[in-house]
Amino acid sequence: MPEPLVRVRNLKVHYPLFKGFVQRLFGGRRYVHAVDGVSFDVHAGDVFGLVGESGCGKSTTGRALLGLVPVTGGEAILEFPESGEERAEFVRPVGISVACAFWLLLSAAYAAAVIIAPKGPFPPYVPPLGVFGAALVLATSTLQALLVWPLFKMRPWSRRPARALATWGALLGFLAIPGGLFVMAAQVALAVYFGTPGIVGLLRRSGRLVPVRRFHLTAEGIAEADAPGEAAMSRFDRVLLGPRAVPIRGFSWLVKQLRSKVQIIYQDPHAALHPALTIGEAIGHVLTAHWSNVAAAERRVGGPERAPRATQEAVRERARQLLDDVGLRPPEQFLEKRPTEISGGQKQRVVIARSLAPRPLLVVADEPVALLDMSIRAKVLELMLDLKRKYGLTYIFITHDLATAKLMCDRVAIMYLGRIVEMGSSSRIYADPKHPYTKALLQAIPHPDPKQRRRKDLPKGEVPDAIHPPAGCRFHPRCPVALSTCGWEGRDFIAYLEERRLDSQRADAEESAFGAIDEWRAEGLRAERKIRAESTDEVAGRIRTVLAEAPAPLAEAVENVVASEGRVIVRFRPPAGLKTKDVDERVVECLLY
Amino acid sequence: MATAAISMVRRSSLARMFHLFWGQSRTVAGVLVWIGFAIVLAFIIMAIFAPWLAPYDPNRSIERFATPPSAAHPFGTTPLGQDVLSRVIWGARIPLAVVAIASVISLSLGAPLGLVSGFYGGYLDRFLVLIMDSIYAFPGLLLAVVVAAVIGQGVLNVSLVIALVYIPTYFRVIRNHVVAVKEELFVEASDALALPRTTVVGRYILPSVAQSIPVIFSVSAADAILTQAGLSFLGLGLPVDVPDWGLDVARAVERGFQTNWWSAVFPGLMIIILTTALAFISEGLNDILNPLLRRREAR
Amino acid sequence: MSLLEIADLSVTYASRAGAIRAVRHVGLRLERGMTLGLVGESGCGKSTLGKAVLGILPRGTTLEGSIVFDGTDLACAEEAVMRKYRGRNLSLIFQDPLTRLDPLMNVRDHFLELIRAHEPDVKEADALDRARRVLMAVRISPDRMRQYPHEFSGGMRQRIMIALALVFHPSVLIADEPTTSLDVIVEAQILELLQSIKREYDMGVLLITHNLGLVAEYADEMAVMYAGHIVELGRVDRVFAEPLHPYTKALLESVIDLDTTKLRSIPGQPPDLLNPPSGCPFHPRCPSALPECPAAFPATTRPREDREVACYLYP
Repeated sequence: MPEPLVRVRNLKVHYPLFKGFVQRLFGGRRYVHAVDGVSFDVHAGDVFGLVGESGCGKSTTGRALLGLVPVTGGEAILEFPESGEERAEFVRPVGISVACAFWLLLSAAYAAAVIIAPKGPFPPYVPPLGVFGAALVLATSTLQALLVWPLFKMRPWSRRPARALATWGALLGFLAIPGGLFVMAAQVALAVYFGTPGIVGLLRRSGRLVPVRRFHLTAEGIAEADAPGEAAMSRFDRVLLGPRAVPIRGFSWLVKQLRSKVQIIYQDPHAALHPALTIGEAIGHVLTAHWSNVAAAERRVGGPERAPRATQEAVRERARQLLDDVGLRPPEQFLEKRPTEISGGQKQRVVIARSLAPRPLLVVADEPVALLDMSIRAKVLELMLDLKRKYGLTYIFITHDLATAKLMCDRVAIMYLGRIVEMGSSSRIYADPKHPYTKALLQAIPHPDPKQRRRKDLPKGEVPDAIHPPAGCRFHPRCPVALSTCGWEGRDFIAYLEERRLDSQRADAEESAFGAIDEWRAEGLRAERKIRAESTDEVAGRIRTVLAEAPAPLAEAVENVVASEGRVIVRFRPPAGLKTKDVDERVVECLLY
Repeated sequence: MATAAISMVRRSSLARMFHLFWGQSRTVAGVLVWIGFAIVLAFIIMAIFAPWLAPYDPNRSIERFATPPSAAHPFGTTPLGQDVLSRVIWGARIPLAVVAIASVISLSLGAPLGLVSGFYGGYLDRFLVLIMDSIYAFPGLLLAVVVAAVIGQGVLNVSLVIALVYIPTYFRVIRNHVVAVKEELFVEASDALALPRTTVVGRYILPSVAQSIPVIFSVSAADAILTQAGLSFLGLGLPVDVPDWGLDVARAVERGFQTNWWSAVFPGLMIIILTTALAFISEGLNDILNPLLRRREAR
Repeated sequence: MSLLEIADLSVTYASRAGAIRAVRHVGLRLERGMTLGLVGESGCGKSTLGKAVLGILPRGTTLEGSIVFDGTDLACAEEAVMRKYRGRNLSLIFQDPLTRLDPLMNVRDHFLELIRAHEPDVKEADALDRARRVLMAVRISPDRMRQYPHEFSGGMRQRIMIALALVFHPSVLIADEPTTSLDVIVEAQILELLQSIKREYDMGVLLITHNLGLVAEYADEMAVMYAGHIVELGRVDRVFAEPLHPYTKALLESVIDLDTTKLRSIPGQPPDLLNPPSGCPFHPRCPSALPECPAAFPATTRPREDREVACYLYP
């Protein structure tokens, strides 16, 4: 069995919630646990489904594989097969060289202006070149600050000192103090020392970059996994490709290589296309950006030999071919159209064509047909399967619609609140779902067959928020077959009290017996409330009676009810450890097994 | 190549804007804009052809003191005996020149900074916003007065001073717009497709943002006229021999308004009319461009 | 007498590009205790129909035909009359509750504002009491009345909207894509809730949706719309068992459910409402098109008991 294309191990993506400065001093940071420990493999040629309701983390997982969201824990390894015709690319980072040269020139001019102009009267540092001098000084230092930023954005270890220095340089430059000269000299030194690509590239030969085919995504960033020993790599290449992280949102070579192999199809075709660009332009931009990859891929499949540079005709021809492949005929007409002139289904085809432009091998499809009409969905799904055959693609198919997933996917992973609860071959899972959540999902789907109307046994409540996921098995508060060890905690007790009040007859009695819901506080495995000292025992007694009426798993999970020091505390037993188990040829995470 | 692309975009979105605008001529907003344009154009013509239009040399004292409007001097004469009509005609040059130069400087500094700041974010953004907000916090005229007092007189200096006052406006509007557009899905999509930054900024972000520039331009232009007139009124900015409306108003008020109201009222009226014309343009443009922007982005 | 009777209703929007005939000659009947499912794809006019009943169409829209409720024709009623009925006897719930609820008002204020709009002299305590009762009916704890819409989840917001719609015990509830933005489990919960409330309050429900599964599970009768026309109308079980109109047939075949093995779609493009095809708008895509089809829209006939079809195949 060949190595899997994608290996995800315990992947975590936690988004920090931005709190105010003061809150951050006192309280800890809060995180949205969008993806909380997910592991799966995808093999070449698979259609792998990530299925779940909104908020389960399926979209985030997909985006993480492209490096669009930063990974905060765990790892993902993507390995693409070696193709016969790999040619190293000769890259001269011209843009950065020009920027660097310009920066140096301006700094020199600025230095000259400061040196030449003698110091005048108060304010002492405005050179008597008059207003123009002052403007020149201001412009130079601002531009200097601007140019330095993007350069140093590429190297994390020099980011902070470099930015600080650049800021100071700008400020000092603004005051035209000679000290600014020293600051700038220091910046030049840093640039040379750390090997700014532009300056070093100008001084040495520019680098030869071998296409990357193994990627390692971790919390530190994207790196090339186990770089094959390439003695001919210049220092420049090693700096970029080394095991040290490259910031994910940069347009560094590594990220571009990743995104030429992994692409994404978005859910909303209207929003994913810029309304003012024609389709030809939109696809053209992508082709131009990835032209070397496109040409190499064509060579690989024995297609026409593409010009080494992206000429307008070559790009247009390739765009025309892409539109033809996705079924937009006649393609020449569609090249000139704007997104507002075509229908939703056609727009989605354009999005698909655009994402196939860099010749990816792995495509993450994020709910590709959710916003399309029913009669068009089948067409687009069919197109996706055709393209899979034609281009040799592997799909990661993200959807909330189990029916579509059953039709399209070979293997399926059901996600709930950031974790995979059941995973395996789709035929097995649909025929015989094991996890209670999977069973609930399958039951909830409305069947277009009135003869099959059944009473549904739906789990109560909704998906809780991902900032404070439930303890133990995340599904336990809603699970119809939960056990006492599934992770019951303080919050569940308070939720139970709240539920009891929905019955209008008992509401007032409940209120007087247990007080308002806001007065209860949940802390992990405890739920407590402040009560006047005299009545603590009474309230504790009432709680015990109530627990007798509570559903069994909740009641059994309570360790004790304690009344002391003007408080009533309900304490729960710690949950059992949750592990994935192999059950009946699939993987399930549930204590029932 | 990237700059060619950007200028191409600017041209085509300008062309598109013009076509949109043409189609709106019948609406109230459209009419306002046309009226504004016509008035400004009249002023420009007046300024350019001043030597031929003005009956007298504006600086020459023809009479010995102020005379009320008459056949020889339709607008009367100033306390120094200069013909007010000629001064009014020649006086159009300064505000128009100052506003033109100042706007070009503000735009070419404020807009790119706003673009870069909004796009990159982070420390650069915070730093620039801090600086710009500090400048913005000063009342425009006050800031202009302070800087003018430091820098000294001269048309160029006044232009620079006024440019400084309006850079933050361009910066803020463009930056905020860029930050909003950055959140659009097509920008994330271009990120996912690893498009080079010049393309993303030039072709994806800039077109949406560029449409707010004419509006800022006309608003700040109207305000700039007032600021410049204010500077002249206070005796800062321009040397005494240059005919200027603000200067005339100052002088007239100095010498007692009741006795020579004409040498204050006519220049003052010119200021008001020019400012209002520019305000018409900005209001009209705003009404025309914004709903279209919203509708386009709402698709 | 039917609860709500729509006859020959046509709604035309005026747009800069021309007249958009969103609804054309539609006839429907809604009875008490019945759920009528109005099905169609995007742009077929079903939402417009729902808004037309409540008279909340944008200015410049022309209405022809009649909408009879409780003896009054709502199509030509004055705004003052409509305001009495709206929210009180006829209620509408929308697709996206987050944008429909005022983010600056808490739940309590929403109810007070609504109740006072129809009964200005009501005492606050009474109004809040009614609010509490209806919130409990939708299983939301009244303790949460002082919270704001963004503090609730999507499903709960939808339930709040339903509660607001039910405060005055309306006889007709129009639900316009009520669960499209919700997940599948919550969707099922909400629809089960609507069913039980319909029984309890003895209402008629018009369920507007593009999801045929929902119609199959929860509706008693269904109407299929295409390009503003109703092409088929009948009892849900009979229509699913034997779809007569070619569009209904094709639509049912294209639905992807757990038993689908083959992907089937309808060829062609959805109709352009500014310039719809002549005669029967489905004819360019219809596998059984006849030469008469482009000439004029076919008359509605009753080829079976309890079934209405507009197709030349069933003259």
